[in-house]
Amino acid sequence: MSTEAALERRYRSLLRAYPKIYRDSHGDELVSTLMEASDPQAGRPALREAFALIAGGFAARARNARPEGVPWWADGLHLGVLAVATTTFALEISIRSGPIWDALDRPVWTLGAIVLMVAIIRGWVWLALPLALIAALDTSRWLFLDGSDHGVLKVGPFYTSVGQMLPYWIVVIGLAVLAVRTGKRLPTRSWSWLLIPALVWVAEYAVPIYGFLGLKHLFRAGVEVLALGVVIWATVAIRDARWALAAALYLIPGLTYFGETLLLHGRNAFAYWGVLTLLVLTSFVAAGRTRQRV
Amino acid sequence: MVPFVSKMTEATYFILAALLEAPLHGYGIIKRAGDQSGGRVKLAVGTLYGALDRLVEAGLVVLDREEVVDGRPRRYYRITDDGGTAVREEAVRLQQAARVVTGQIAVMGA
Repeated sequence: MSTEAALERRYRSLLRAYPKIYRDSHGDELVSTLMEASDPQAGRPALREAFALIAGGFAARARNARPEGVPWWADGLHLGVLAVATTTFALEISIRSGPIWDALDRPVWTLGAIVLMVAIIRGWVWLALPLALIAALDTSRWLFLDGSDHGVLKVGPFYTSVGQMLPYWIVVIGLAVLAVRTGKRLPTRSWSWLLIPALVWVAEYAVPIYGFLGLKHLFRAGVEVLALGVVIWATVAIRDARWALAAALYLIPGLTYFGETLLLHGRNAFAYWGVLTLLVLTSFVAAGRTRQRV
Repeated sequence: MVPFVSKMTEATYFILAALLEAPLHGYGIIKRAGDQSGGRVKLAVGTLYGALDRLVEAGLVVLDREEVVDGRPRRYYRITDDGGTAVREEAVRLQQAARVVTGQIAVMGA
């Protein structure tokens, strides 16, 4: 293989960072420009070009994920509701090790949660809203009924703090706002959102050590910091606050719970919530600073 | 008066400046931006096309024409009237900002 052909092949591999639709319309043009801009003797892409292609590909993916005709706030609300729902149900569906059909503590709750998450992903707001309302009322029964059984469903977890109930109400309020919104209907989101509960459930079921020694919390903190870093990057790429809004919705219940139980926490918890809050605030600042920039 | 806060990155400024004279293709923009900035702005291809996407979206640049050279596609980009206005406003802003300092240097030097 000639040096030029090898270089072109490597550039085409790097172009996989871009979404397929972008590669189909601009891929050959980018390769043409890359080949013109490269040292004719070079068989490998320069580091600077490789990094710019990966960053450019990510930015193109972030831009490509924006639905046409849907305002940024509605898109951010949709993303936020989806993030809150998938992470809440990932953590609030109790899984025990053992035969899979015995492993679910709350089969009705689990089934409802899956239907709700699918409805949010598909943008079926009017199906998701009543399901979310049932889940919110059920998990907030302590507020209304002192926890006693007055014919309430009692299919979900029982909470006694506002911070634990709040995610369900955030989903309800977000969906209610999206339901009364006029304009173009919400798009179907990526099915990969379902990987969040799926991976957590698999970890709970199949990796016994996952629940021990704070490993779960450490892993979650790492993923959250990484994800919020990506939110900042995506915000700079698309230059609006949709991802920042989604991240803020995700953070609100946790911060509320942290505030309610402030005296129980040590220095690590303060540092953890401080970092998450800082990252979300940074994404809003990034949105504000880049909003009108070209 | 043009505000001191810039709405343009340096790369965007030199891309628009490169297109003021005539439509150019990707590599043409990279070369011209490098020349006009005295070699300071070295646009990576990924950076250039990200900026072009944003400029097209903002209506400051449009696709002018497409050619095939040596079997490879070449797209030429053209600056729009809005793009011309934006880059000129940015030039005035930079000039005003520079004058704040150069004016003081002149006073101190006198």
